[in-house]
Amino acid sequence: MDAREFDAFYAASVGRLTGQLYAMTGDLAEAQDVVQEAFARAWERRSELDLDDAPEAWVRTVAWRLAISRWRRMRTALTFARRQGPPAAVAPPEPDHVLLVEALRRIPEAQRRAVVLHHLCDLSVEQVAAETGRPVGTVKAQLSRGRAALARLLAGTELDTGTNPLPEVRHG
Amino acid sequence: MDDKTELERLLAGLAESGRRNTVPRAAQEVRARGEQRRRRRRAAVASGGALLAVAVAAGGLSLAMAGRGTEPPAHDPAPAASPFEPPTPAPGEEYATELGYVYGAVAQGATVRVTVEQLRMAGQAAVPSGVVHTLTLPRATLVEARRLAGGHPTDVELGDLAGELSDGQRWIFAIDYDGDGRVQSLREAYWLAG
Repeated sequence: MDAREFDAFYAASVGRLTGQLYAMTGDLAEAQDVVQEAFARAWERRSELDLDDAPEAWVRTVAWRLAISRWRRMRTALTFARRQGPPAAVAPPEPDHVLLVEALRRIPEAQRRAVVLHHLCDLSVEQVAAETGRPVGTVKAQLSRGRAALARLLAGTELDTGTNPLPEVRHG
Repeated sequence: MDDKTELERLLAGLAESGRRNTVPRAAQEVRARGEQRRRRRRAAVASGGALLAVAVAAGGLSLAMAGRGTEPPAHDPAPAASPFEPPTPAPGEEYATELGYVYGAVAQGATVRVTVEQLRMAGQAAVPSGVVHTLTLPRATLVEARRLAGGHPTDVELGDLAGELSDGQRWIFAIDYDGDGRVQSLREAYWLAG
């Protein structure tokens, strides 16, 4: 991957990945930081990355791991973006999204990731299993529990999905 | 067609808001960060090997110049038009490193001309090898600075440091040359500073 290919890949996917990581982490500034750090690592390892071999999934996985590491305080060296100058201005979340972010934050990490990968990133259950390194059955259970938990947490709010069972969707 | 579940609509709206409310860094900055990590990883792998290589290379130069004496000059050396040959990366390495004082910076349009007094390692200390040369580099040459940037590691462009580097020998850098002899970056050798 040369610089031009990387720049095109970055331009095409950084916004989408930031949105996905925002849903996974519930923190937009955090999502920005980890996605850009993951892209930096993609460039660092460009000789190993193949444009035909799902580099976006690679970046998403690295960004997720970085976010997890941060949460667990196992790493502290992710200040790159902030060292470059003042942090980019991040608008406060829109009111409609506050409830959803709060609900997402309250379900277990693995369930949240599976839900986002399946319902936002449009990955099939099998693809979610491949990306997360979990058996298909485990992913199905995580999706089921995650959806049920979200439905419970959003019940009675503006985002109440009512009787919508939030079913699994067949992708791919 | 609307086979999206309500959850998918909610998540898509959330992600779109995140996308809309962020301004990604320039791809060039991200690549610069990747390059920095790459260099550091290689340096970590090489451990002391890199400095050893510099010491050996500089030592070789010193030996070659032994007949003319290798003592550091008593006065500030004039930036002679030295027969300087950029170091060549070792097999499997992306960069070769030269250690030296970088000073006398003069900004000239899109470039910055600096003088380098090459150093070699003698035990734990860096001592002049006797080689002095000049480099004319693009203003945008990446510099990893620490003390020069107030103590915090940061990436800056050489053009932004021309003022700080305009005086005499004060700042030591590791200068990274690629296989074509071009300088790709400078790293402040803060670990050698007094």
